[in-house]
Amino acid sequence: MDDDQLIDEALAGNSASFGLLVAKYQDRLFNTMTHVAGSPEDARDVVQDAFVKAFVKLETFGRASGFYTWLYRIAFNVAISRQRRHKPTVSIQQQREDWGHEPASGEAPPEDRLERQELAGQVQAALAKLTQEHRTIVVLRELDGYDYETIGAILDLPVGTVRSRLHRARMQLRTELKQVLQPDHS
Amino acid sequence: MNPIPDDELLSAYLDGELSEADRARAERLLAEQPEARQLLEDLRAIRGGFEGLPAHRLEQDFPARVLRSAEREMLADESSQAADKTPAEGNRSAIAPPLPAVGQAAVGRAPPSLQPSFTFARWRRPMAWAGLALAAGLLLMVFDRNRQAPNPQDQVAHAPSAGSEMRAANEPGSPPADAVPLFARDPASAQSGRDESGKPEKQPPQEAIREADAALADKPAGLGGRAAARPESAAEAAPKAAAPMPAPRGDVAKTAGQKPAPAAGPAPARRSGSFELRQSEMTRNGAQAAELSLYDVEFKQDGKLVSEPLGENTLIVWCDVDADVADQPEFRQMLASNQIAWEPDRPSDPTGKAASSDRTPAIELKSGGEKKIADEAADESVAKKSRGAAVAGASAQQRLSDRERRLRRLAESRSGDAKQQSVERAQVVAETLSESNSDYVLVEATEEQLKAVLTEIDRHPEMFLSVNVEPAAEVPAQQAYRSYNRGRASLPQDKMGRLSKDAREAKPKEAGAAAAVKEKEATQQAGAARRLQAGRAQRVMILQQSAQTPEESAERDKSDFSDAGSAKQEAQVESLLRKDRGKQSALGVEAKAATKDATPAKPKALAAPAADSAKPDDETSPAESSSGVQVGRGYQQALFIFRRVSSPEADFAPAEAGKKPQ
Repeated sequence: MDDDQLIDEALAGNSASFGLLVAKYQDRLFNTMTHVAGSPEDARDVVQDAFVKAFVKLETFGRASGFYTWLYRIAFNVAISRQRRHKPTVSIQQQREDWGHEPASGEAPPEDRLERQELAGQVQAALAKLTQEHRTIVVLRELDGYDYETIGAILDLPVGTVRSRLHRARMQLRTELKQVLQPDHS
Repeated sequence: MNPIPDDELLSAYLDGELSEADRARAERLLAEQPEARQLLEDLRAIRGGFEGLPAHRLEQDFPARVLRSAEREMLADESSQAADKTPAEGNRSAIAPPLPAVGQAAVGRAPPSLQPSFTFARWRRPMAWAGLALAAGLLLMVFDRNRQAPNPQDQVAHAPSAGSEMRAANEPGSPPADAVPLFARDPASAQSGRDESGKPEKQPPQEAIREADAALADKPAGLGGRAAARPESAAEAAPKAAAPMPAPRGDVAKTAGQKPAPAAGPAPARRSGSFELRQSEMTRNGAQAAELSLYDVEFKQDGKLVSEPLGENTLIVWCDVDADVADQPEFRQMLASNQIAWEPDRPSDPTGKAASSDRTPAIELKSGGEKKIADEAADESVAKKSRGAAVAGASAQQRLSDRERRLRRLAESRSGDAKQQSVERAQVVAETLSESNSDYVLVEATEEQLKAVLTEIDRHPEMFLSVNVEPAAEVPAQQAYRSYNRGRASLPQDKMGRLSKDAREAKPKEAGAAAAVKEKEATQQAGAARRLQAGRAQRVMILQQSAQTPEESAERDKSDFSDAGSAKQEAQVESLLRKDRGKQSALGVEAKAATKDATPAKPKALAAPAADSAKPDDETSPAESSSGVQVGRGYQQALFIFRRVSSPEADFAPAEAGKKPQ
């Protein structure tokens, strides 16, 4: 059953259908929001708030974009609002030690996996050093795989701005990761 | 890393976001400049680093949690709506004219002046009501595989034991069992009942959408703006949404003197001594409510999510019912039309012990083509996760022990007066429900439903000899239900007072012997107590309300429901509750002083001993007892305890064994 059908059923009064949408996207959104919100604890609250808002306002979803895109925008706004109100429960820096033990992909050979794991830890640390706007746009592109147009829609930015901001974010990441990326040059 | 003239091009190249011309240009750049190739390689490596980031997962019951939160959010909205109207409603209890019959003031049928203006929150409410419980149940079934899949009928538990009442109801002379559908579960009925009036509930979709967008996005425009470009969806949803709920009582009070519009359907005939039912409305309303999912009260404490156990916030309604009318079909119909099924087994089981020892499935309700033995619903997990609109007692003893255990657990976590009160409450409920002439129905319903039941009960003093509403101490919204107090359900209160005394004197008694002694004492006290025009409940109410301004009441009610989910607002609620507890302590001191001064008009302490409460000089006019109290909206749990008495002047006595319904 696709998203539109589930949404139709939810609008018709079958909240269980919305529950299926939650189940479908909760982990994906949680992963992303962990980086945007700054901590899994905050991300969890953000994701829950976002789903609740989405449920409450489901009638207003025009389906001009995908449900997840719409949801993401809600979640993003929730995360930003929360960050304005208070700092993350646990700083991203603190999580550096926690993250990286659990690679998402276990298909690579052990040595590659270790290398990737190390790189992931470095990337995570570098990501934490980015500004909010740079971090968000990188997450949208690299973790969620959104195209520029969708990123622009979510962040309410022109595509050109998305492109340039993403590039600047990447260049900052590259600088931060110089030792990992090009050890011979350091 | 040397600078690259157009390195932004490479970033877009990596993302595949270039036009044909730009892509050709990027490839030329890569072919000509090693730095460009290095940059592209680094960007790809970074991308690979993202792929290696750990995957976080949320717990499996997260969807159910989201739906519960959504439910709470909607309730908060409704509470806010109610709070907006509160000034006029707040002082309604004493001066409000008699309420229209149950369901008569359904929104769609109220006169224009009574029709509440449409709000977005209102037309989305039915969707949640109709589906949230079902959703939670289904999700639990899907995601919690260790637990047996919930049956829709888990939401309804029925009376224990022999099921004499249901069988009796099918006997000649009694209405057929399906004359009043106890639980209308047809989804179509829930849908069809959403708006009978149609137009009054509609709002220009654009307005609703603007409202939604304003709440949706912190940033203007963007996707939220685009999402708004679907007015037809809102327009389609709006007519479905208006539930035929009884109009808020405050609306009636606000427009005193105006007669509600006649119901569109055929007016039910009113017979002397029978209940004036608005069955169709209430059944439909109940069809939605039957799907409700109730949540345990959750709040954050020291950073941890705390879930309060079932029972603490339960409103207890003590009802003395005439033994002669308790078995009349009209009585059951009234309960059933308000989604309450009372299946007392006592007439055939005066000892009250057969229910647990010989637990014949009392009734089998058909729902969704399936059958369910009532006792299964007594399972705690079901009670917690699949609660429906009405949960009747499965087994007095079993449910009693569950309830007592929960209350005791709660009590143990407290200290001082609160602990004492919790313990006493548990003991009183436990003892009362173990009596042979008592039965109970545990109801979980909306405020409107509870008010409908209480109103209907209030309209029939010939059957309900006394009503004593006992709100949970920490649920401000329940305090207003005290206005339904009438007469005196003396035994529970006497017990409460005596238990307090026992606790103070530290005289623990053997449970069985104590129950017998207390029963005898209570019976003696009950006769005298019945001569009072007003009981302790009214005095307590006055005591509480006199120390509470309408503003405080409004603030408390509003905080209780509208602020759920926000840590800051939760803190406000906690603060108010602390304030309330402090106030009660202060009042206790004041009451002691009053007792010392022997001033007849002064109320006694909140947990006044029975001996004091039985004194005629404590009489207080019920009219005095009403003041500004507001009822917040939301799902509430109520335990209706029906005590069968033989006549208004008689002491409490067990019902006749084997009494047949008339």
